[in-house]
Amino acid sequence: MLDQAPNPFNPDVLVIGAGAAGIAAAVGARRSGASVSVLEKYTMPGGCATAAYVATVCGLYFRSNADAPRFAHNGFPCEFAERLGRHANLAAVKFKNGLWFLPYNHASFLNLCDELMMESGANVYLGSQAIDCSLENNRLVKVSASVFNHKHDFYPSAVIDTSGQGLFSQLAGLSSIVDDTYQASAQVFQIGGLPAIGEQELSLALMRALKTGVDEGGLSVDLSGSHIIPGTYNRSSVSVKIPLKHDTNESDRTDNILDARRQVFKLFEFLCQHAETFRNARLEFIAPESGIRTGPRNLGKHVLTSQEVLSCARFDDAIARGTWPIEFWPPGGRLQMEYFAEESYYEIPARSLKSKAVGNLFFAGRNISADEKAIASSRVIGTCLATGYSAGVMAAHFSKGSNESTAISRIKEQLFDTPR
Amino acid sequence: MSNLNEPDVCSALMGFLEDSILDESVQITNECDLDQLGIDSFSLIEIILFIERKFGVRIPDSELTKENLRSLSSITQTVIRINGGG
Repeated sequence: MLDQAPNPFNPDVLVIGAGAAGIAAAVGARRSGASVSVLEKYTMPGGCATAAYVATVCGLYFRSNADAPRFAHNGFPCEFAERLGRHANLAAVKFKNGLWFLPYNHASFLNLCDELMMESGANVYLGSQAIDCSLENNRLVKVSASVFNHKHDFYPSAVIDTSGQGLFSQLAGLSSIVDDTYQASAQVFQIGGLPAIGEQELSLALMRALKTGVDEGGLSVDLSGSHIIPGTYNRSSVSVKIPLKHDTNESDRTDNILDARRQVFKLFEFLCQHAETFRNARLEFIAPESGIRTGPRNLGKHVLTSQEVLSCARFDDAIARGTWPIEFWPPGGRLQMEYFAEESYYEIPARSLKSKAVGNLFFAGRNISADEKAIASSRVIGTCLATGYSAGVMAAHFSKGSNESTAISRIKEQLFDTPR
Repeated sequence: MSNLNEPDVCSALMGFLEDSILDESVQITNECDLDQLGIDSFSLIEIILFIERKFGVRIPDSELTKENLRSLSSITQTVIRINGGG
């Protein structure tokens, strides 16, 4: 790996957001020889995976009824999953309909992200947020950021937006992909002090208590969709997810976060009083952030569509594979799943990771250029690791003036050749 | 308390499934695997609550196992065992 450039404010590649996609982007760019700086708004990396405690990595494996899971990619996503599995001492779980996922605990995810940041040699700025940017001739030339309340200006050759919310399109006044309603968000919390029964028994006990509570009028119907996150029960503690109302604007955000926590306390108290399994339970942990599934996205040279997802589309400039079905959570409604063929996948083209208007702006993770149904598949962590890594390789090649087809060939060698 | 009998519980369950859960075209027996009939956890909860309310029994959380809830026959036996019979 090349040494970093002496000036971290003048990096080849600036990554905005150290979630799963941002970490992958930083590693991809560093391994391609670029100097990298990373801005992360929290004091910990991992994004939703650590702050909202997603608790399962989906999209790593093909959907299959075989006895063992098969990785969708080689290279970084696979490496990440194997290391996470070792850290968390957990293995892939086969859920229903041939869906496989990797459960994790959030400390292990955090630990792995910290390690990867250190190993990569990227300059990481925690507690920092991009607040402004300047464009010249359709290029981002300057990004101003608040770093622990101090203002710093960065002059990157290329920028990767892995903010999860299309931040750069907003800052630069570019076109975004905006919808009237986004998918429901969710609040996760962890309950400990449970007896050793099975996960199915625990899940049904929770569902029965909720249904009884709603039928008898002791529990708000808003809480009736709460459920145990599969794979998280370890014979004493379990993670529970409460579906939330949707934010319609930023001023709702604070109210909704406060409301989410009130819902956690209410649900926990109800369970302790009404379900024998939860009688001696402890409320161990409330995820600091509610999990936002989708939001505004950057408009790219291609908008990935749900038809392309469901028909397992192929592209000449493919840089990642999606294997997770469309998992669509309508606000206030029941989950809708739309599947494509088992053992198959759709491809994500490089054009969905490149800004339509700005030559040196790339994106990855859940703010890639995709429609609302397509992102309901591509937003999962496993796919974010792949789009992140590929955006890193593309941005690094771009910053060195090398042509894009070289970058795409490198990505294909690293992620697609001889899948296991 | 223990005056539940197997045919009563089983036929009540069968009637509930036919009326409220399954499509008319679906033919089932007491031994059919409910999971394979496409009965999801939401429907399973409906079935459990129906039988608890109808016969005034309570299936403890620890008895909500896959084995006990596999078929109408296994649910029936579980209810009767918990109720002190069988």
